[in-house]
Amino acid sequence: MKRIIEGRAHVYGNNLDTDQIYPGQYLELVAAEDIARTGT
Amino acid sequence: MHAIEKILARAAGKESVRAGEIINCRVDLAEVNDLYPQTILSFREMGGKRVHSPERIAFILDHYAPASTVQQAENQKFMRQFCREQGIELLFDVNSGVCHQVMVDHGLVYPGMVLIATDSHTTTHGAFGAFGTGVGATDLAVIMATGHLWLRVPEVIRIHLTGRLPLGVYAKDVILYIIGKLGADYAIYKAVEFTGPVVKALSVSERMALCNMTTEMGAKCAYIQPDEVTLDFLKGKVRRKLEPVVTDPDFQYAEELFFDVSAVSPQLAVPSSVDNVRPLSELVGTPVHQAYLGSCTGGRAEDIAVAARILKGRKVHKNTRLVVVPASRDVFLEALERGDVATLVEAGATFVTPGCAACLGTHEGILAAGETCIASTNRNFPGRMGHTQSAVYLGSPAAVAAAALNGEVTDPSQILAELERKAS
Repeated sequence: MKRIIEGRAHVYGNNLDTDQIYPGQYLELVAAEDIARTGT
Repeated sequence: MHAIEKILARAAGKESVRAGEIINCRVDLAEVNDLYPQTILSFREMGGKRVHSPERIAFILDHYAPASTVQQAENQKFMRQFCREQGIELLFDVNSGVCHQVMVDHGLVYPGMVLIATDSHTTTHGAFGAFGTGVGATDLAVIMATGHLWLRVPEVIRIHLTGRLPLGVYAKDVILYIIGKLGADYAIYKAVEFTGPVVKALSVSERMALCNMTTEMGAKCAYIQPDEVTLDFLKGKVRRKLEPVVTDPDFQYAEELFFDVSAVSPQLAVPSSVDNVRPLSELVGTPVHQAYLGSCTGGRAEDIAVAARILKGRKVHKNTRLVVVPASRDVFLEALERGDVATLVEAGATFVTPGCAACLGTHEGILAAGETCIASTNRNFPGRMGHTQSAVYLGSPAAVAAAALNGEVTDPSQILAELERKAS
């Protein structure tokens, strides 16, 4: 199955520091829509 | 083969494996913590109805123990319900502590096992000659569905430690020193084995600290060959025959590194990276608002005991707060029995529930903007323990206690030397 997703891509290097892309204070969030709101 | 390769070969039902090979391994114990309700969602998205082997799955509520928000409470409730539905009896609730310590306390960790958890510091179990590594929710869901997980057999780096630890220098200082020299990405997807007379002389608690911190070098797993110290510790805890796996004498390591610890002084990882390591002596006098003693790295009974030794009959500095988080219920009980809890509370410490607490900036000791903390934990990225404008210095439990006493970074060796002089 091929699926093309279009949109803005943020390209990072290897070995991402996940603490910085998703800090501890937000880790309790489970629903995708709640997680998305933290970026606004 | 290396012992790690033998462990993985057995788990994969193969005669032998070699570094780089991808194998499908039976997992002896899979742990899910309360940061990962997504594991259950992923299991269901995969079409999972019943977990493969409920007796080989543990759930532990440690990162938010006990819940501080409605969301955390909902997540924990969801996980408890799942355990009930699935007949998972290994549910460690909010009265237990940090997963890596709790599994050891309950005799669930033994030499030669494959242990996978939704926590990066699962490398800790290398201290017992086990293969321990961390995964995300999807991989753990695969284990719940099949009892197995694919793994790439890691290359093995040997770190040989010789010399004698000076007074006031601990495993935490040694591993910070090594990480400072090698860098936080040195061992990515490699196994790190510690050998040598220094390791042989270390307690189990200190071995756990060494192995725990290999995660901060990027390691897939850690390893220390089980010896009498390991087996004495595990006897009476583990209800199975202890059968350590042994590396073949002709095994060729990917790399062999040698460190003489005699010249290592107390170390600190300076904000905001674990490999930004400097001798503590260069930072003496740096004001500290919070001293934090806890975590799967530095919250064991020995760690609390050294803090109690430094602070006995003294007071935490008025400009500093000391937060102590026993790594587990058993650790808390041991510290209570030794009298160390009373000593520290009398000195002005705040004790919080055994668990992960503020180590990862979730609750119980969060930092405000502009505040500085010295911690016996494992990470100091921006915002790790609270506000992104706060700063965390990583050091040994003794360094944490010494800073709590003086309200600023202080060399613990000088305090310990003074205590020894008085005692003699």
